[in-house]
Amino acid sequence: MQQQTSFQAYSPSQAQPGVQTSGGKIRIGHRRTQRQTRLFFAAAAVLFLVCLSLLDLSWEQFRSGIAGLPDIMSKVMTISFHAFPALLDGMVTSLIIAFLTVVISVVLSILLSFLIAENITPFKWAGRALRVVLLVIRTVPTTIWVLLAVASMGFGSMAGVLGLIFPTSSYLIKSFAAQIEESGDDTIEAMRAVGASWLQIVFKGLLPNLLLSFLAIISFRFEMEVAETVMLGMVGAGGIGVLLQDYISYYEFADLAMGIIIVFVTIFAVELISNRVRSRLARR
Amino acid sequence: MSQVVSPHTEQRQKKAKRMVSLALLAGALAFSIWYVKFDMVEFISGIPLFLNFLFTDFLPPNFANMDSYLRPVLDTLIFAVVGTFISSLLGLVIAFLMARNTAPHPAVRIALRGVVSFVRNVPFLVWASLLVVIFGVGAMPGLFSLLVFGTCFLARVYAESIEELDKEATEALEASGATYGQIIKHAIIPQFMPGYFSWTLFMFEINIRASAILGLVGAGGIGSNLKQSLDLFQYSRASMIIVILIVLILAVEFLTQRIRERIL
Amino acid sequence: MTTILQVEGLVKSYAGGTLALKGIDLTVEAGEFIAVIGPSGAGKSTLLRCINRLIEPTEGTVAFLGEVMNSKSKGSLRRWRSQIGMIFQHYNLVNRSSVLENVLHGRLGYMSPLAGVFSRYSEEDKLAAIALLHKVGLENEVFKRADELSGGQKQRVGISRAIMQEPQLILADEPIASLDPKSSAVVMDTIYENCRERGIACLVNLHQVEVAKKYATRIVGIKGGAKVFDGAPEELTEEMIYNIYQGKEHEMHAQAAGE
Repeated sequence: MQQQTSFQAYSPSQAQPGVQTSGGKIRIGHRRTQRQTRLFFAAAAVLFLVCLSLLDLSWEQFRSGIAGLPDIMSKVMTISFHAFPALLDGMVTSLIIAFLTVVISVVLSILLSFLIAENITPFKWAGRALRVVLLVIRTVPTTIWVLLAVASMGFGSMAGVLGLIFPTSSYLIKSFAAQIEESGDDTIEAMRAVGASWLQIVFKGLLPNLLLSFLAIISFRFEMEVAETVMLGMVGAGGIGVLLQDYISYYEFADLAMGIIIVFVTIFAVELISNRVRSRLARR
Repeated sequence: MSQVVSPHTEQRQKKAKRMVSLALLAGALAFSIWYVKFDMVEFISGIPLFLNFLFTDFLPPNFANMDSYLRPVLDTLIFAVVGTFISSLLGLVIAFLMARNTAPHPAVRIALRGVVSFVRNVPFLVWASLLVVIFGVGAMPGLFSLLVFGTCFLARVYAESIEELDKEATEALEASGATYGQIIKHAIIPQFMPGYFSWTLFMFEINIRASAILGLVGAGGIGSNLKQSLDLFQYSRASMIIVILIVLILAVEFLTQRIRERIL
Repeated sequence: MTTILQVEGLVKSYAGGTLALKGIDLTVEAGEFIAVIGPSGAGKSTLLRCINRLIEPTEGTVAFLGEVMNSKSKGSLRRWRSQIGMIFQHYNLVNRSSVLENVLHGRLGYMSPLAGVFSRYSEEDKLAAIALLHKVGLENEVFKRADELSGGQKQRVGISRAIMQEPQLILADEPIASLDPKSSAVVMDTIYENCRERGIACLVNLHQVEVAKKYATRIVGIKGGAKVFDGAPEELTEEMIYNIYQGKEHEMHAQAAGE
């Protein structure tokens, strides 16, 4: 199939020093790009094999799990409407926890983000210190925050909101501040030139300009928050997760199936709506 | 929109619109507070109590028995590595089957999209908990839930970045008579590599956090120790575990960031 | 003289009823260097893409070397395409691959599918590709990555890739529309010389009339999806030019570097 090219022969002796051969064949790829790719995969493969050898999985456990699977699947398939009202109530509660968390966090974050943004902060050092605190807060997984709040306040949706406020505010403050730093420079310069005070710059200049991009960030976070509220119910902080965890522990798989469907539909709808909101905001 | 409106009425409309949105927000807030019986006073007084709880009961961390955390930390890392590695391979195959510009058949694309979106939109702790029931407590359900969730997450983001690649190189290879396989190998894959690297590294970051909380539902790793110490009110042990977690996660993020900067 | 390409009654309509091509007839003989001129949106690009079936025409036939092309058989479509080189306005290189790899992509159409996937280019092909790159003045760029090159250099890589196919016909779609005047001259010279030397017929879309007149052996004018002129460059009167570009006069001299 391969057809020979009829161009005048180009003898390797004419080759430039840049032509590299390997086993008598001319290398054709870009060296650095190829090397990086190979290094990445080689490192990943070595790491994977080392971890795999350290992993102790019992085949017995796997086999018995797979053996029990058809039974569980058949139970899951008999979706029951019996728990529908309770699940709906749980889902609404989860959504409300997410909503309240975002509202409270937005209020906190708008104030603090102006303290953190390098180009408008009145106290540079306080802002930097706060940045470090926020980084630590963000690093602790959300579910663990909720667990701590539950340990302090007891089970229920208030513990959920309390626990979620920390990572949520931390995320929002960082994103808002990034937005201020990215697009606030012109406004700040212009308003400083006419002698506006710090408060005037923030409330008359920056906030109205940045409102739309803040809304986009908020809608994105709300989307994440709903998934988080479902999970945090599973550690006892109210909402549909509590029910899901119960159904799982009591082997009520038919009710669980209904719950999973409700969660899927809700999160799907929230994602759809918040995407719609963001694309409309982007057009404005 | 095309109508000519005087600046005055336009401003008034804008103001009215803003009032309506604010009223809606207030209504939603009122309903929410009523529905979950949210007690503002108790909540606000709970904040100092919570902070007090964090600072007095948790600090200082208990540095005793450090070596008892070694195995759970290692397990957490191992889950993340094994989970990310396998799901990046599975996700890649699924992504090529479901990206608009590389899917062999629209039916395959739509079916895979459905499955992936279903798995991805149900929070992963639900899957983990369900797998604990199927396989019993231990490492297996944890690893499997990371695998299932990670594969679907990566399939979707890989597919999106494949769809966003510019069509120009593909067009040129198509015009020179290259086959479907040749186009994927020579035009799609080289251009997709940066996206592949950065999404895979991002997945690894997610998986470290995820595998740290898996233990909360009995699926192995450092989370089990955390749950246990909280249940037994051993708060200084719990804070030690959290400190270890923070160090672990920051170290991983530092590392992935370095790799990201190097690879372009 | 052998007829390379015979286009008859080519029509392309898009969903919604837009007619991009309204029945174009065109014959390309061996060794011809034909410039297709016309304002943007006239259908020049659609015409070229209908010839190698990147766009499926609605009606009409395209005969290449006496064979009527269709998209039914993937094997024959591949064979036809491998014998027709194409040069693009935006170069269409694989940016993260080396220059040499990009040129070798021109051989893929002749290789077995699997050999192509695994980059098993013959040593003769590699040497030929390097020689070609030397010839177009890119001897120092052979092992660079395509995204390290300037626009003019990228286009010369694109030309080398097309030549590497050893085609009977080259289709060039606005090859200089994204280039500055100096690079444009180099790129046009490169296309012209290579086609002449190897006896490749060339169909090049241009919107600059001066460039078309300088190189073309024949000029085809397209306006609103229909052929309004077909003749020697000397026959192209000022009047005709104004007719072709009516309403879009500013485009005919534009060196539109930033387009």
